[in-house]
Amino acid sequence: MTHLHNSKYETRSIPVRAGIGLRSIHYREVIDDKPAIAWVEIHSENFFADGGKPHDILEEVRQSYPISMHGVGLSLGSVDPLNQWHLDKLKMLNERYQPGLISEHLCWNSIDQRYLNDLLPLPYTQEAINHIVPRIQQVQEYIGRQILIENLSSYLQFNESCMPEWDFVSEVARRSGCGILLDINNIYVNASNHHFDPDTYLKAIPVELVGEMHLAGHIRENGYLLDTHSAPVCDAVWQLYRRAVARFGPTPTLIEWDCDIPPLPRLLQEAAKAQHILDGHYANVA
Amino acid sequence: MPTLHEIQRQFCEALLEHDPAHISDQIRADFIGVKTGLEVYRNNVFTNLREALRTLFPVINKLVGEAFFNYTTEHFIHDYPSPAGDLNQYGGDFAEFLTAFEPASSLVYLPDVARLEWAIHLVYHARNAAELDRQRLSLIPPGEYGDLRFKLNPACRLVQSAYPVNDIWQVNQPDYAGDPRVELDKGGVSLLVARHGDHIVLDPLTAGETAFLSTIARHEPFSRACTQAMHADPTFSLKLAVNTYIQNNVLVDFELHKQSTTTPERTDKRGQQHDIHS
Repeated sequence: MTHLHNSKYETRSIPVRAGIGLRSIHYREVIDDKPAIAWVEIHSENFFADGGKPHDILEEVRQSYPISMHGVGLSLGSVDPLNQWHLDKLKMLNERYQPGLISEHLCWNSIDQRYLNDLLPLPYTQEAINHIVPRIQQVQEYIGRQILIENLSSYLQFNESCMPEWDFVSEVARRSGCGILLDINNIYVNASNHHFDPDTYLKAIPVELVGEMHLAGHIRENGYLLDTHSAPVCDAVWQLYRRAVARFGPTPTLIEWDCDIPPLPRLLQEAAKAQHILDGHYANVA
Repeated sequence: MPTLHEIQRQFCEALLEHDPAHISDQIRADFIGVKTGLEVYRNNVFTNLREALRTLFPVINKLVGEAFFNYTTEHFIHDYPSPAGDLNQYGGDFAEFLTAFEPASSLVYLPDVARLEWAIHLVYHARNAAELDRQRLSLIPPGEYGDLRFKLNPACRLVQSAYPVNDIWQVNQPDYAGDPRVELDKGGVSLLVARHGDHIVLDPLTAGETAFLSTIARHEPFSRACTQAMHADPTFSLKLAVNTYIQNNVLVDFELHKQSTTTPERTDKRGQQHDIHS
């Protein structure tokens, strides 16, 4: 179906390469120097403004790079009605910038119209699946395209949960028709925090549903791992990523670094490491 | 069995009230521990909101210091939960909260500084407006000027304070190198907060300009704005003001609404005297 829109851009799909999460401290450098970056991901909510500088920046970035829009506040899993204002903003951004991918999280952020502005965990129950599936479909219908949903890092589990996280994620995606943004670091963090084998997780996710992967750094706290996006990707996560690429095939991969953000060249080094693993896969199958 | 709704409501209470008891029955005794696990979420939520506020209210943060800002926002986040999944929507009530926040009551100007910083934030993110169509304006018969309702640029806000908040704001900018002292006794100020390119500009207004622009901002007719301006300042130059505001993109649009019949007092007479063309 040809979708008519007012954007000056053609949808530019996200290449099967390693990109970076674009954060405000790097805007100027990226716009002025146009370094070689395969693609960038922005946080959708940072561009919900009606006008002004945020859009001047995004216009410039969009002219040089394929972009993916990653949301943190849609509250897909909340029992509140979907926030129409939020949906309208996403639709506006999609129509204006024609991003290659749009993603959100398998979580909730609000209840009774009070927002907690963090990615909060759901119980892994049929009730939660039955609740979130039509909401994802509603979002996809409203925006007019498929979205990806990302697995969370978590620090507790509900008594109510009656299935493992990987089954919950897979069933939500399968039934709603969305794709999966597989965060490899989050799988590693949860495997450590909740004592399961991360490879069991990878093996349970349907290959055809994974549209993107995330990599990030975490820190070790007293007795658990904390997903801080404040550090380089650790060796164990790189290893898990290799096995994920082997299972799912080369997939667009993003380096996320949100706290103690390093200079851009360091971030690009991290992306180059992911690219090396993607290239290695091609070399192996060639 | 608790419903999803109950779990979410209890979880929210546990975080905002800082009391695991609200939700602990629903959480599996795990390797991390219920209390520690919940504390991670509470810390994430409060840190995200607090740092968003610090970015949005940098002058307040500088005036009270980091530790007191943390203490203040801890209370604010509890009392005024965030209304949206977009952190840029959070903080509109901060000034109101500060007005009643006893520990900060000695800093009487603080709520007005918060009001100014919120206005700056709104101006920064406001819609880009096209210039006023002078051609279209020139087609309006002078007799109908009084019924015009001008529209302020959405990237313009009016802020009034009994304190020199513009000076307070200025001396607390990161690149400010001059005398950091502000004379609090010098009195209040009325400001037009506007956006010039990427920059935010604070323009002090006279009493006449304030009356004129605030009447326009309330979508009242031009005749009313003129009366209010002349009342506030008999020397107010209407022609100069209107031309400057159009030139500077403060007035960006207009509508012509005839007074309804329920208002018998027409403004034609006064309207005919308004010469707004240069």
